[in-house]
Order: sequence, then structure tokens, then C-alpha cells
Amino acid sequence: MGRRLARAYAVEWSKAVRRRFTPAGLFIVVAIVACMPLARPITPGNTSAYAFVAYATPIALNLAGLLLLVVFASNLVAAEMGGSIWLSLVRPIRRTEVLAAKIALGMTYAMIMTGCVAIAAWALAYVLGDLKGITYGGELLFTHTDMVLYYIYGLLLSLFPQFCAISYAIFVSMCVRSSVSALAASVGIWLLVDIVKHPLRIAPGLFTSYVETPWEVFLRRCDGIEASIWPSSAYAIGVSLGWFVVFTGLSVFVMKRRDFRV
Amino acid sequence: MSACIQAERLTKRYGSVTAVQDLSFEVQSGEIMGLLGLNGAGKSTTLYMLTGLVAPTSGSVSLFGKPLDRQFLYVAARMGVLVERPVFHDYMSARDNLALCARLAGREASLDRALDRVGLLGVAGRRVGTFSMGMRQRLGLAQALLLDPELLILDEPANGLDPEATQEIMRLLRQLSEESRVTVLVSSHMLHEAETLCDRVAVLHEGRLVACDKTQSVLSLDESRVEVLMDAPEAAMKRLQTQPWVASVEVEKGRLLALLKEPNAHQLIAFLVSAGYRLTAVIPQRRTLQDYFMELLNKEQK
Repeated sequence: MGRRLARAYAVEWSKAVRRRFTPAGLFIVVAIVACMPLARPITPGNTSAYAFVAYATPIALNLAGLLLLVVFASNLVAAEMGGSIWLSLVRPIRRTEVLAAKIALGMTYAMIMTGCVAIAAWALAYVLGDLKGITYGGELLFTHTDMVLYYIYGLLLSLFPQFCAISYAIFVSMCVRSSVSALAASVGIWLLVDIVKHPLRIAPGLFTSYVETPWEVFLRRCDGIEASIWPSSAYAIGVSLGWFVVFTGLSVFVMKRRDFRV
Repeated sequence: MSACIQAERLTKRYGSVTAVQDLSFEVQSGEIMGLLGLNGAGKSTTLYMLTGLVAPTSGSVSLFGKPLDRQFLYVAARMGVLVERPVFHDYMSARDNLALCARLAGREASLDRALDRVGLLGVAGRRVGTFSMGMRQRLGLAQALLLDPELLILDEPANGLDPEATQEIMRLLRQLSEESRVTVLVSSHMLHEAETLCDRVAVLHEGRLVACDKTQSVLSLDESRVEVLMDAPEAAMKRLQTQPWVASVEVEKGRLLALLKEPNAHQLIAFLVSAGYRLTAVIPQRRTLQDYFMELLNKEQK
């Protein structure tokens, strides 16, 4: 099974690198970060470089999440479900392995996007500002190393909702036959749930409520305020993992039973 | 010969629509079997059930003696499949598409050989998005043949091909069957191609199997249709028109064509000879697959 999964993943990766979206998506998120100094200027001699990183990263990652949702729901999966998927399904490989490879590809792409955002944000902060830690009244509150560590923690935590968004996008694309309906369904349901989650008091149980959570500690530290990573991080991880399992399980269920009349 | 394909009481329902009903048949190893039928007869659904793309509502499929649902990996490694109107990754070249297929199967394959077999070697590096329908069809065949399968399941393989390419593909399939003992199950609505290619034909109508026969016995001589080369065919035609055992008679390009009510050419010969005509040749007409198919359909519709 491991070998088949590795083969399926390698094939998914080969397809992805040949698609125009793959470099384009990375370029878009890096370009967004590059434009951020216009909205949040970095000046030397103060802590504005950290504030810039804290501002630019979540915005760029939210955009990356949206791109992942759109691309995985409509382009990478739904397009295949309606056509070229038969090329995989008539080979000696299980349907669940094909699905797992697609999810793994999405997770890889999310990690690469996140890495690109982080590198771009810190590169700008390094070039345009000073990265000497957070000080208040001349007193060093948090060293640069502290800030970097909390940033890495935020970055890792931000992957959980992103992975969940990918499993959600793939599940939606499993249930439809065209890219357009996949796009409409994935974004439409997301927006609808976002509108009703607070009135219905279901927000704590939804992974979309924890998109900003990873950055809370880093943001507060930029303002010189100590903050704890618990319990919000535990909720973010738990809820995201729970929904990831649910969406992946539903995708497996649909994939195993779906008829592919190409 | 052992059975390579065993379909037993296959039924597929889509909601209230029954696409295939209680279908049972076998295909022997090395045999070429044609699945014939009108559009919507259930040919594609049957083939997709045999490839695992569609799950039967009831019934079972065994390939190489193994149940498809439980031994899919074993079966799929020995099978080449072509679906109707094959879709590929349009942003990749023909060669890259085949390379992905080989990689998924975890086997080494000669991509150039497969492309050469179907006449696509010259455009191997071109993006599939620029291919015509016929070229996509050829590429579909190339991917089916890529890993030297023991069983080929092909849905309308001549779709979109010109007559010359169709002939080439038919020759290739025949050669694979004869030299490598590859089993072929092919659906087609092109009866002439099926007639020259298939050892056996199965006819589907409204999801049911209405006939399954050896092509040779289907195409047997039909003694109720007789062509006669003779002197004075017009005069003979007039005399034959009055005979109660003649259904119809006409003269075409100096030949007398008679349709008899019973398949009894002897009666016709005896009548003409006793009437003093000189016969050069009496040729019973050969029944075509088209005639057989139409007879079956008419019978079903009645």
C-alpha cells in the first residue's frame, strides 16, 4: 500500500507542477506580501518590522487558503472527477489511495505556500526594518529569537485550518461533476456557514473560526503583551483535526461508492 | 479454453432506470467478443461494470477467475481499458500522459512503442489539448496497450477514426488476439468492423442480452436469398412472380435476385432448369451482421 500511495502521490505531483496554477498561486501570495508595506509601512529603528510580519502573514495566508479552496475544489479535483480520473481508476491502485494522494498533494502545496509567505514577509522585514526584538521604554521584553519561535508556532498552527480547508474542498469536488458547480458549492457553503455560525452559536465548533487563532500570541507580543498559547491553540488543533477526519471520511465514502461514467 | 471474463446476472439501476438487466455471459481467453446494440442498449454500462468504474446493483464479475470487487489490483494489472471519448490531461504531452499511466501501474513501459503502434510517435511531444478527436482515440488505445495487457476492454475504439485508421486498429487487435492470445471485449455500433474483427458477438437491447453467437454462424449462407446468373433473366422473373413459394424477385444488372419464402434454393434451381433456362451460377446470399442485428431488433420490437 505504501508503494502504491507513493506512486499516486508522485503522479499527482507531476501533474501539479505542469499546471499553470502551481507557480501562479505562489507568485500571487508572494506578490500580496510584497505589496503589504504600502498598507503597513516598515521603518528602521523601531518594532514596525514585527508588526508588519504580524499584519502581512495572516492576510496572505487567508488568501492562500481561499486559493487552495478554489483550486482544489474546482480545478485540481472536480475537473478530473468529470473526465481524466478514469486514467487512474483503471490502474492497479485503490480509489482510496488516489484520494489520499490528492489530499497529500494539497497539504504539501499548503505547506509550500505558507513557507513562501513566511520567507517573503521576513525578507521584507529584514531588508526594510530592524529585527532586534520587542522593546518598551528601552527595556527588551521579547528577544528576536522569542519572536521567531512564536512566529514558527503560529505558522505551524495555521496549517491545521488550511489542511481542513483542503479536505473540505476535495469532499465538495467529490460530490459534483463540474468545476463551476464545485466552485459555487465550496465557496457558497463556506460563506453561508460563516454568516450563520454566530447567530446559531455554532462558531466554536467550526474550523473557520480558528483561522486567526495562530497569530494571536505573536500579535500581542508585537504590542509588548505576554499571552498564553493555551487553550485557544488546543481548540484550533482539535476542531480542525476533527473536521479534517470528517471530510476525509466522507470523501472516502463517496469515492468508494461513486460510479464514474466517463 | 478458460473463461477470461465471467459476468453473472449483472444488473445496474440508476434510480428508476434499469440500464442493464440480468446480464450473464462469458468471454474465453484469446477470444474477441463484440458487444453490439443501439445507443442506450447498455453496452458502455456493461463495460464499465467489468472495469470497476461502475459498481453493479446486483450480480458479479470475475476476470481471470478472480472476483473483480475483491481482487481489483490483481485484475487491473492485467487489463487495458479504453472508455468512450477518452479524456486526458490536456496540459501534458501524449508521452507524459502515458508515462503517468505507467508510473501509476508501477511498471516500466516502452512509451514510444505504444505511441508507434497507434501512429502517434511523430506527435508524442505535443500537448494533448491540441489533439483532434481521432488522435485522442488513438492515444486512448495506446494507453490501453501500454503494459501489454492480457485483456482489453474497449468501448467504441473506432470512434472518430477515419476508415484507414479503423482498419489499422482492427488489424492490430486481431494480431494481438492471434499472436499474443490477448482477450478482447469490444463494444461497437459499427457492424461491418465487428463482423471482420469478432469471433463472437453479443447483442444487447434495452439492457438485456438478446443474442450471443459465433460470428461465423451468424454470417452463414442464407438460402432464402439467391442470386442467379442465367440467360433471359427478365423472362424468368415474370414466370417466378407467379410462383407461391417466391416472396419477391427482381433483375439487377442482368442478375436475377430472388427472395424465397423458405430457404430452399433447390426448388428454384429445379424450376428454372425444367423451364429450359441455362444457369451459369446460383449463389446463395451471405447474411451480414447488419441483417442479423436488424432481424433481432425487429423480433424484440414485436
